[in-house]
Amino acid sequence: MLDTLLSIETPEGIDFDLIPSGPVARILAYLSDFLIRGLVLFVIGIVLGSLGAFGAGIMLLCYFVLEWLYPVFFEVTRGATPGKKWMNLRVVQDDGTPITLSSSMLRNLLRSADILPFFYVFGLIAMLCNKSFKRLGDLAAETLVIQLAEPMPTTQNVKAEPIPPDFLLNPDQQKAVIQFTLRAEVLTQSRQAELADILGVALGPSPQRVARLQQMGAYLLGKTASPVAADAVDDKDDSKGGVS
Amino acid sequence: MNYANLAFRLRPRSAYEAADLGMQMARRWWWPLASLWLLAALPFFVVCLLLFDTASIALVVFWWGKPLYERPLLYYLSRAVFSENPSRRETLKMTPRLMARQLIQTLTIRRFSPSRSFDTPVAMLEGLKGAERSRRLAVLHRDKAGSVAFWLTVIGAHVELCIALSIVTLGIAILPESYQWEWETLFAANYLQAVCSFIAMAMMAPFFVAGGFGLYLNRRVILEGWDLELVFRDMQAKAANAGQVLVVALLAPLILCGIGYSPDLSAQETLNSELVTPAVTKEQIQEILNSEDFRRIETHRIPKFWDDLTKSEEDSDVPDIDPWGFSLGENLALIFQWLAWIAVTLMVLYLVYRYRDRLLALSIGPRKPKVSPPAPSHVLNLDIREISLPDDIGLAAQQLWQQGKQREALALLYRASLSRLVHRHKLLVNKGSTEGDCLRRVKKLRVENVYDYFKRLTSAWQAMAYAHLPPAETEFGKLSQTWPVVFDTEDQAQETGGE
Repeated sequence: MLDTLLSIETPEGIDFDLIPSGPVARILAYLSDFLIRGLVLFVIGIVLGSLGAFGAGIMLLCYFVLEWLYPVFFEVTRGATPGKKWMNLRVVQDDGTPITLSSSMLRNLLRSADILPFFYVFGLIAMLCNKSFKRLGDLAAETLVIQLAEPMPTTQNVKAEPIPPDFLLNPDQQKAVIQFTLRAEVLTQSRQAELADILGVALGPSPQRVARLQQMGAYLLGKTASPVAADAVDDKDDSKGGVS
Repeated sequence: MNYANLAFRLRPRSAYEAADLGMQMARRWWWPLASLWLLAALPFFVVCLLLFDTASIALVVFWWGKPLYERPLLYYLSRAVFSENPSRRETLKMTPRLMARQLIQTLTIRRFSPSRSFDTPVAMLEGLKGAERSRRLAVLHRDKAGSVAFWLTVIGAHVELCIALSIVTLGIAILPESYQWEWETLFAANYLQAVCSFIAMAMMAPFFVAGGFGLYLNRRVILEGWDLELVFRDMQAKAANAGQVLVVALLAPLILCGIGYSPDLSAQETLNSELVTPAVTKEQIQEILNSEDFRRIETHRIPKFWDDLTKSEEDSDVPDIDPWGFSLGENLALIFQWLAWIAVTLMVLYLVYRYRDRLLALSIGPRKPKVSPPAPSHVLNLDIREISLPDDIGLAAQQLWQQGKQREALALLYRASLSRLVHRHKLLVNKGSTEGDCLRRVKKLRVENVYDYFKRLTSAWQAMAYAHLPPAETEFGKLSQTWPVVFDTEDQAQETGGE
């Protein structure tokens, strides 16, 4: 089954997923870094322009440092260069741990291989030849450029009152219920009703199912109940107990 | 729609990730997609080249028609994601019809659309036109999908150019140095450019189409809740299964009365039976926390250093300093404590200074001679105690030789030499030293004639001991005669020198 995830298992037996970033985001990140470097060099050039040959020498040194050490510095200290940060990317080792200095050095030095024969075409082809979108430098240094997961949605836009579900939900099911609640504005009304109807009587009588599912989602998202609503929950539980 | 047949994992994805899903699709179905593109595009390319005299114009015309060659790829993808991969023949048969759909708009106003690969599915798969299509696109473009589609197109165009150029660059790099060429010939080589561009387009097309399709598919998944439907159906199926088992076992008569409704009801029952309230969970958590695993006592002992000591004293002092007088006393005590420490330090320093001569004498003092380890009694299984040797070594060896005991004669000489070296020249050897070791150590003694003699003797002895080759008569004569000269006179010389 096709997927964009890479599963990592830690020695403690914990599974988690990394999202390797594809070419589009990485090219954009590279271009913005390229722009930043160009701007910095431009400013340095203006300052050093009046110093003649000495200035030119310093300029070359600056160029060298910017070209080779700029990515290493940011990757090791911040996990990503400014361009990557802007694209919400991060460079990590293959096992998801933070990148080490030597790996960062290696993957950036090997840009000289990726850049062949014309502006990173080999790098791009290498990226499209493996599942985790690694360019040659990444393959050599055993590193990975991943997309950071988007932050957990807040409960601010969730209008439903939080009421715990009446039955056990496994994590995937909880995620689905949460997604259902979060997409209240995105899914059409009829589609929401259709989806809720799949679950059937477990959610209660037909017209209330969507609302009930959203209440469960709000609860699972960790929304705190307002005091008035809490009473309502108690009432509801009582009435339910009576029926069953 | 049958979710069991989906070829990709249903999950809401971010826009960039959705484009990456498209890349994964292009990777998976690379050959079908690339070959479809080639089959669809090659005839056009050839016709263009034949129609126009200038290859660059032919290339532009061909390039203009690109949306058409991408149609069969989209058709293939739209079926492949449901694991209904159409055959090449089937797709090609469909191709003319696919190309004719909304042909004019495609080649005019939509040709420069910056989100072509993302928008095409709406026209092709949903068959929407006009205002309806625009409304639909407006919805689909939300949530960053439109901007990613834009970048996909922009980057795709540039990458195509880069690939075409890199084919040329690679060719130049591979050309032998002796081959002379001019930039002008390269620019004039229109057909070369056209072919390189064609190859570049062929390489990019599957990724471009699939990237846009991935974006489109992800928007559909999110907007229509495909992922939710999958999970909900799964939940319902499980609950219904469990319910039916219960029903059959316990409520067989009831099922006859209300066939339509009972599975759902019982489904709810089973769901309810697994009810876990927060209170129950809290109890369980408390139970686990009280268990052995979380009640481990470990004692760590950490040495307290001066800083820690003063710190802890200060910490403990802080709450005590309430009455002012007491605090003054406390402070005074602290001051005196410090003064006392200073006095002690000064005292020690004074004592050191007062007795500096004696201390210096003590510390430097006459050096004790190094105690050398006791000389070994045996080396190489040879007895080297002086007591075991006859008085006149040279004579004794010659006597043995004359008796035909050549081996013993040489052994005696070697043994006696080692014995003298160990006992009189302080040669450091041990039980396990080999002949080679002994020789090296003797060299370090730096006594010329002894080393020369010992070297000769060693080689003679090794030949005798290991190869059973006795030395020549004259050689042995020399060895045995020089022995007393080398060792005994040397001794005397040393002794007289020592006196």
